[in-house]
Amino acid sequence: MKITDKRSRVEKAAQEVKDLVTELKSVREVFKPFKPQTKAIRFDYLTRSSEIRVFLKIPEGLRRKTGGKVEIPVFSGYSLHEIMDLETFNILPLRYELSKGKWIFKANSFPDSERYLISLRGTVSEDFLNSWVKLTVPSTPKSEDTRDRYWIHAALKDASVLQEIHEVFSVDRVTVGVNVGVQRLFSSAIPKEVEKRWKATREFLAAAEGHDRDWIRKRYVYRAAVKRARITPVDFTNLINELISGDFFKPFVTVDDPFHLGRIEGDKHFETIPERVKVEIHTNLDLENPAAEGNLCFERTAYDETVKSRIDELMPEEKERQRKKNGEPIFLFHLLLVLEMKNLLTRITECKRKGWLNNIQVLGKSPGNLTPSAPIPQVHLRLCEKGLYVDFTRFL
Amino acid sequence: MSTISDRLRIIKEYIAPWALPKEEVPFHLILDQTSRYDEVRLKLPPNILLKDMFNVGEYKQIDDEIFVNSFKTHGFFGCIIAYDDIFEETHVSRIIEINFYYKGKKVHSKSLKANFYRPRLEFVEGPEEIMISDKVEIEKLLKFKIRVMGFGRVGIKIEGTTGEQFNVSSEPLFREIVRRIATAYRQNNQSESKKSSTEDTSEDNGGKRPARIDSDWIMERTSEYWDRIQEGQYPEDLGDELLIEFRNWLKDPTNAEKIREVISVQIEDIILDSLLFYSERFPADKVDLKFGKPSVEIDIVGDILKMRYRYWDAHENEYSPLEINVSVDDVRKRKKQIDIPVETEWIIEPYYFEEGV
Repeated sequence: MKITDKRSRVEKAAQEVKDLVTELKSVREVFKPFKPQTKAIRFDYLTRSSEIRVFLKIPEGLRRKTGGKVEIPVFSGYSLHEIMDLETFNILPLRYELSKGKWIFKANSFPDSERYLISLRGTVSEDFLNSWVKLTVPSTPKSEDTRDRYWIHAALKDASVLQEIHEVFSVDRVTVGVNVGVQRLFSSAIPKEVEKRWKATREFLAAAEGHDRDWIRKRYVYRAAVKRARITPVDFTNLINELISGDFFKPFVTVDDPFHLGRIEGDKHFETIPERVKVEIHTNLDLENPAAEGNLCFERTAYDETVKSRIDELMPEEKERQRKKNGEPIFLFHLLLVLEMKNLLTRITECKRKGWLNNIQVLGKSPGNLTPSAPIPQVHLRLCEKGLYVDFTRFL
Repeated sequence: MSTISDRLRIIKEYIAPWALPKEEVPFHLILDQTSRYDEVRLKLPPNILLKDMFNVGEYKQIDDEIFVNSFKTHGFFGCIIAYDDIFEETHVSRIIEINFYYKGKKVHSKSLKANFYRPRLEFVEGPEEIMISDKVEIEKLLKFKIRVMGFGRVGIKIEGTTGEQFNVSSEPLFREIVRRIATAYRQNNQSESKKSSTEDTSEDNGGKRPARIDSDWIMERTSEYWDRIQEGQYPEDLGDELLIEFRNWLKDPTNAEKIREVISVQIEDIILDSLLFYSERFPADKVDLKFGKPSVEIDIVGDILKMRYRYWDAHENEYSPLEINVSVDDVRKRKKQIDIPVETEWIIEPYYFEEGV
């Protein structure tokens, strides 16, 4: 029989909890003359900071007593972040002197109000937070039809810290903002034509470097490939940078309650194509909800399609070639427009917004006078190098 | 699975729905504040490892049972567990039994099921024997069909040898850089006064270099590769090019400037390779050829080609590789070392989870 006595990891952080509570108590002492009421205490996992909001009453009489000065002693670990006038809800400019361990405000720099909300910020060690809150996300998503799903679990490893703070300070709520970057793999496909072009470039360069007898042929293949797919690695790198920017990525990522999405950014340290995207997730944990669970979903298919269409935009010749080869696919768009002429402008605007038609141009008069009862006109569309042209001259 | 007790009520329960071997699975229970319990005993099934606990003070482990008597607050309790080994099946599940005690008497029992999944590669078809002749198209020699089963993306490295040792390849970008330095070394040695390959490249691109990559990134990489070369790291699959003489040439401080120049000038061209490498890297859904498109070197010694598909999951667990032996019949007039590309057709089998996941 094997018997082992164990202490959960959180025990090791006990001293830090004690220090934290002592520190918070000293904050309360400092504000004693102002009848402080602690309104909120919040810990932020990502910035490794804690914020205390204290409600203070600074009556006129007290200001006179201190000789026109409002003095707040400086205490370790925290700095003054913000003072809000609770009567006007204005943030006061923080003009103070630091003297003999006290923040000294000139009383006349305070407005006439008596009630203020002071926000203090301090740092909390990473070790402490890690031993206090734990966030778990799997390395591998579950693939569901069009999307990838990751479960998310966040929990307090020691809820007694909150309880202690809650009891000592009689605050309504002590929250821990779990705010952690999740780096996950979101890869996308490169179109075959682009691949061919790079392959030809590589072979051509290799042939040029050595003494390849096949050099002339490779040069021809290279030139032909360049002509078909005018996308260069630079274009592609720029495009990828755009595609992994938070703004572009955000519509494809969702999280369940009680989690919220924060910033999204691509991994900057990439060889060529960033493989990981960092997603920040927030949630609040408190005594009632010491644990939270949910899902993060990545709309893989929609993202892939958007990426492909953006690459297509960089390859106008390829588009033209495909159009010829596939028997004027633009005709489908033509039919669609004929059937739904009423919605033409709405649709074009939508297409432009989605980035499908970047260089759309309308030739001739705009069909602004179209009404539901108007006869269905013919629309002619032309696809050329600079984008899609809609030609209204034929029917107006 | 649970016995009902009016003294104990579970408000919320959660266990993470899936994990790979050795990956963390959190679970927790939130109980009504009036619930009466002063001890929780946790029964761990085979291969389940307790990694951490939520809201618990000291606890004791006797064999596979965990005894918890100290709770940080009442009504919330949880654990992080993991499967401690690699298993053979693509899915295994384990039941975690949680028993609540009050004054030495069991008052409630709860079971939670933990599900673990893994990927698996299976051989479908491929040649048993290949014949290398002077006329053979080597691209068509080594073609395999491999089935990707189970859960999750797999990182795959294909290796082959006709000798005893499998070649260890480094990542393509670094390999390519060292290869080019080796070329510069050879040119230097032969005192050739011909134009450098980079100038050739520029001309044929109409004076435009093919890639303009962030200069900070290039400098960062240059110094990284320089450091690695100085530390004596070389891609071992470069073969005979890396002679002792070449290594010494690399280490000679008077050549430092030339080497750095090769790295920073050539890296942009190599980006092209790298982009191609990326597109070759993900040939199919779920498949990640981490070390690029493979080829095997057939040496004149040995008539059996031992191939292996090594693979990892996203948690970096390495599974037993898929091993394939191919007989080699070399009928060439002049036998010399030959590089044969390996073509793999990936058959991706969709994976279905247990219902409710």
